[in-house]
Amino acid sequence: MRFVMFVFFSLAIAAVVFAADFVPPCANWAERFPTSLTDDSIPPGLYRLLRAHQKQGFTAAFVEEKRVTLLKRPLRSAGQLIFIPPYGLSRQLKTPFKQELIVTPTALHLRSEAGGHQILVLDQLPVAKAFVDAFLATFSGSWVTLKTHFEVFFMSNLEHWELGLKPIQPLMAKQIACLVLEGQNEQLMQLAIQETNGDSTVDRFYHSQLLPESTWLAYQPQFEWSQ
Amino acid sequence: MGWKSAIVWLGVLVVFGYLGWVQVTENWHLQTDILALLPEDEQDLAMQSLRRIVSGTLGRTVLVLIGHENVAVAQAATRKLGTWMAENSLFERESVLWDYGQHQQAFFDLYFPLRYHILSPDVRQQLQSANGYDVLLQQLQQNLYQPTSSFITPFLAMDPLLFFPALAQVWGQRTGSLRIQNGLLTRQHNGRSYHVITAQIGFNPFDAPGQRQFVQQWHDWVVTLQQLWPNLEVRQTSAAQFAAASRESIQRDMVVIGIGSMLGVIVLILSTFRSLRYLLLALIPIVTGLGAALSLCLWLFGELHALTLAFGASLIGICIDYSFHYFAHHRVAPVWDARTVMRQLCPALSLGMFTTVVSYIGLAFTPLVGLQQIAVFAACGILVSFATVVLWFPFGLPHLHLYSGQHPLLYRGARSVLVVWQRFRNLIVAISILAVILCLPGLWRLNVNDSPRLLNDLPPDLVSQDQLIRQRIGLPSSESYLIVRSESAETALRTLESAYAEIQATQAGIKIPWVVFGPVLTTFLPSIEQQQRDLVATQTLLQHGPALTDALTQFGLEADMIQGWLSAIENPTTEFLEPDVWREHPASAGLRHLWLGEADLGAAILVPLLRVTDPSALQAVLDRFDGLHYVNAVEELTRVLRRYRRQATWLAIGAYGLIFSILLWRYGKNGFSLILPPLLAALLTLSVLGFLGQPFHLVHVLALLLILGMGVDYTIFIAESPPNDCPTTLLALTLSALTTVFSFGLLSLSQQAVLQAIGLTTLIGIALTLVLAPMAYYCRDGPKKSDHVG
Repeated sequence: MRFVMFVFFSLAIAAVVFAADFVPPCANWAERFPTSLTDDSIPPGLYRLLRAHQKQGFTAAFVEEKRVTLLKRPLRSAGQLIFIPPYGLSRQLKTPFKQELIVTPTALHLRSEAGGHQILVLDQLPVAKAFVDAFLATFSGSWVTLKTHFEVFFMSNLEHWELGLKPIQPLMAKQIACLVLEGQNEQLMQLAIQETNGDSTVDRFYHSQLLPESTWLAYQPQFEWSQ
Repeated sequence: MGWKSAIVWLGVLVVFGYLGWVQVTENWHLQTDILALLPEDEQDLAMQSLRRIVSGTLGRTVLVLIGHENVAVAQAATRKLGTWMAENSLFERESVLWDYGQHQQAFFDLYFPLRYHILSPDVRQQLQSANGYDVLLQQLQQNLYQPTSSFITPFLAMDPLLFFPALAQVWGQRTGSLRIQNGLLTRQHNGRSYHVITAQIGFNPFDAPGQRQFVQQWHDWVVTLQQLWPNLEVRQTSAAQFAAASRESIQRDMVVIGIGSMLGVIVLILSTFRSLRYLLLALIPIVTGLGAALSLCLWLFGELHALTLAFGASLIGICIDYSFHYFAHHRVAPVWDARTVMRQLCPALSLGMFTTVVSYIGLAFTPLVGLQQIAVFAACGILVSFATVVLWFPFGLPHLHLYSGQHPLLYRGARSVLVVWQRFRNLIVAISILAVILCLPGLWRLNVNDSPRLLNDLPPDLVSQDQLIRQRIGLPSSESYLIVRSESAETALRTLESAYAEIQATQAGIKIPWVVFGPVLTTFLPSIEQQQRDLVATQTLLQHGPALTDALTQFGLEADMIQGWLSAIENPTTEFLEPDVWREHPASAGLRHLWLGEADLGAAILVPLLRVTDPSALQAVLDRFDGLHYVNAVEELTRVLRRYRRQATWLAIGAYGLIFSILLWRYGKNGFSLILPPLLAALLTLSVLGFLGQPFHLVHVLALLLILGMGVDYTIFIAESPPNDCPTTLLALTLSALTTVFSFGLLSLSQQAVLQAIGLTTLIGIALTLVLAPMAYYCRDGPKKSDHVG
C-alpha cells in the first residue's frame, strides 16, 4: 500500500512539476524577442552561429516531448538525428518503437521496424512540405534560407542563445506558430515547435556534433534505403 | 417549255422559297461538329445515347490555367476569374471549380459523418484481418510520433484510428501532380505558379451564338486580367474554342471559295459572252438550286452540317453546266430559235442530269447522316437548277447574240483541240492508257487511313495550347473510358466495384500498369452493399473494445472520448450515402459527370481512363462482367469510318456500274467510250493521290462520285452533240470545267483537311476528265469526213 501511495504521489508531483516546467514555445514572445532581424541587423552571435553551421552536417541524440491538445499526457520518444545537406534529414526513432524517417526537399520516407517503406510525396502534401521546409531551413545555416521562410529573432546571453522563427509563408504559418532553437556556443541544445492547433513539440539534443563535409560519405549508407 | 410550264415552275419555286424562309428563320442550325455526321449506332441505341452524353459532358468541359511568377498575383487572378466565371450564365454555376478550400470543407461535411460506412481500401483490408485493429493502433502510434502529426491530431477525439484521413489520402491521389495551396489547385513550373479552374459551359459547344459570346467574353476577361496584372498567363482549352475556330475556318473558306468561284464565273462569262445578261441568268439556277436544296435539307434533317453546305455549294457549280450549254449555243449560233435549241439540247441535258443524280442518290441510302445530307442537297440542287434552265432560259435569251459572227477565243481553242484530237486520236488514247498503266503503281501506294483525325483538322495553335495545359496539369488527353450499365444504380455501382478491384488486383505488381484510371465514382459513392460491409467491418472493432480502450488510454486519450467513439460505431446515426444525396451535395461538384443517369437507360456510370497501354488485357477482365463497355472514341470512329468508306466505295463502284448500264442501254457498245473518260480520270486521280502520299479516306470516295457525275455529263453532252456542234459543246464543257476546277482549286487551299481532300481530288479528276472527254465523240464511230471541224 505504501508503495502504491509512493508511486501515485511521485507521479502526481512529477506531473505538477512537469506541467509547471512546460512553457509553450511561443509564450512571452514580445518580451523574449523584441524585434525581428533584417539583413542589416544580424547580430554577431547569429552570424557566428550560422557560419559555424554552413556546409556542416549535424548529428545528435534527441529526446522528444510532444504535447497534443487532445491527449492528456505528452508523447515521449528518443532517438538519433542526422542531417547531411546533400541527403536530407534522418530521424531514427529508438523508443518507444523503432522507426526511421528521412526528410528530403521532395519527399518523406518512412521505414518501420517490420521493414515497410512508405513514401509521401511532398508535392501532394503542401502542409507537410511546409514542415519539411521549416526543418531544412533551420538546419541550413543560411541567413537567406532562413529569412525566405521566417521572420527571424535572436537573443543571446553570454554563451546561451535563442533563435526565434515565425513562418512568413501563409501555408507554413497556417500550421506552425513558431520555432525556437536554443543552444550554447555553436551547440544546438533544443528545438521547440509550437503548432497553431495548440500542439507543441520539444526536442532536446545531447551529444550534438557538427559534421564537416569530409565525414558525410560515412553517413551515406544510412540514407541509401530512401534512394 | 412554254409559258405555262415556266409559270408553274415559278409557283413551285415560290413554294420552295417560302418553305426555305420558314426553315431558315425557325430551324436554321449550322452544325460544325464533324462527329455529328456519323450514323446512329444501330446495334445499341442506349449505348449510343450514353456515348453522346459522355461526349457532350466531356465536350462542355473547360480547362483554364492561370500562371504568374508571383504566387500572390496568380492566386488573385485565379480567384477573380473564377468568380467571374461562376457569375456568368455561359457556365453552369455549380460546375465552376476553383475554390478547393470550400470544396475540401464540403468533402469533410459529407464524408466525416460517414467515416464508418466508407473506408479506404487499406483500412478495409486491415479490418478484415484478424489482428487488424492492432495494426491500426500501430499505425496511429507511428503517425503520432511523426513530426507531421498535427495533421491527424484534430481527428483523435472522434476518429482515433484515423479512418477519415486515410480516405482523404486516397482522394488526394486524384489531383495527380497538382496540390491544393491556399484553396487553389496549384502547380509550380519553371519558377511560375500555376492554378487551375475547371468548369462546364452552359451551352452546346457547337452552337454558333454561344461560341461567339464565349469567345468574346473570354477575350474581354483575358484583356482585363492582363491589364490588371501584366505578364499574367491565361490559357483555356475547350471544345467550344475548337468548334469556334473550326466554324470560323469553314466560314472563311466558304467566303473565299464563293467569291473566288463567282469572280471566275464573271470573268469567264464576260470574256466569252460579252454581256452581263448571261451573268444574271447564270445566277438564277444557282440561287434557285442552292435555296431549294437548303430548305429541303433543313426540312428533312432539322439542321445542316457546314461541310454539307460547303461541299454542296461547290457541287451546285455542276448546275452551271446546263446554263453554259445553252449559252454556248446562243453565243455561236448563226440563226436562233430559243425554244427549238433548248428542245434539241434537252435529251443531253436530261441524261446528264439523270446520271449525275443517280450517282449521288445512292448515298442517300447509307446510314451516314453526312452522306444523306450531301445526296439530298446535291440531287435537289441539280434537279432544280436543271429545271430552271430548261423552263426559263428560252425566255431569257429570245434573240440572236449580237456578236454571233465573232467566235470567242475559247471556242476557237476548243475547235483547235478537237482538230488535235482528230489528228492524234489513237495516239492520245494510247497515251492515256499508257499513262494509266504507268500510274498504276500509284494505286498501290495509296495509303488508306480512316482516322477521324483526318476529318477533324484542328488549328495547330489551339492544339499546342491544349497540350501545354494538359502537360502543366498532368492530365493526359485520352479518348478512352468505360461505361458501366445496369438496371439499377446499386447494381451498376457493385459491378464497377468488382471490376475495379479485379483490374487493380490483376495488374498489381506490374511495373507499367496497362490501365490507369481517372476518378472512379465508387471511391466517392460506394454501393450500399459496400457501405454495409464497411460498417460491419468497422463494428468488428467492438469485439476488441477493452483492448482498444486500454491502448488508446495509454496514448493519453480521455476515456469518455473513447467510449463516445465506440458508441458511435455501435449505433451510427448517419444513413448510407445514396446516389441522389451525393448528387445534390456540393462535395460532388466536379464529379457529377461520372454519373450518367438512370431512368430509360437504366443506371450508367462513366469511368474515365487516363492511359490504356494494353486494351486486350483490359477487355479480358471486362468480359468477365456484364454491362461493362470499353470505349476508345478514336478507335471506334475509325472503325465506323472504315465501314462507311468501304460501303461508300461499293456504292461508287455500283454508281459507275449503273451509269455504265444506262449508257450501254442508250448507246449500245459505244457506252464504253462514254464511261472510259471519267473512269480513266478516276484511276489517274487515285494514282496521283498515291504518288502525292495523300491518305485515302471516305471523302476521296465522295470526290470520285463527283468526278463520275461531272465526267459522264461531259461525255454525254459530247455524244449527244450533232457533229457540227461539237466545238460548241466543248466550249460549254470547257467553261463548266474551268469554273469547277477554279472553285475546287480554291477548295484544295482550305484549312479544313476534309475540304482540302475533296478539292484536290476533284481538281485533278475534273481537269483529267476534260482532257479525256473528247474520247467520247471520236471513239463513238470514229471520225467521219463530214464531221471535220471547222
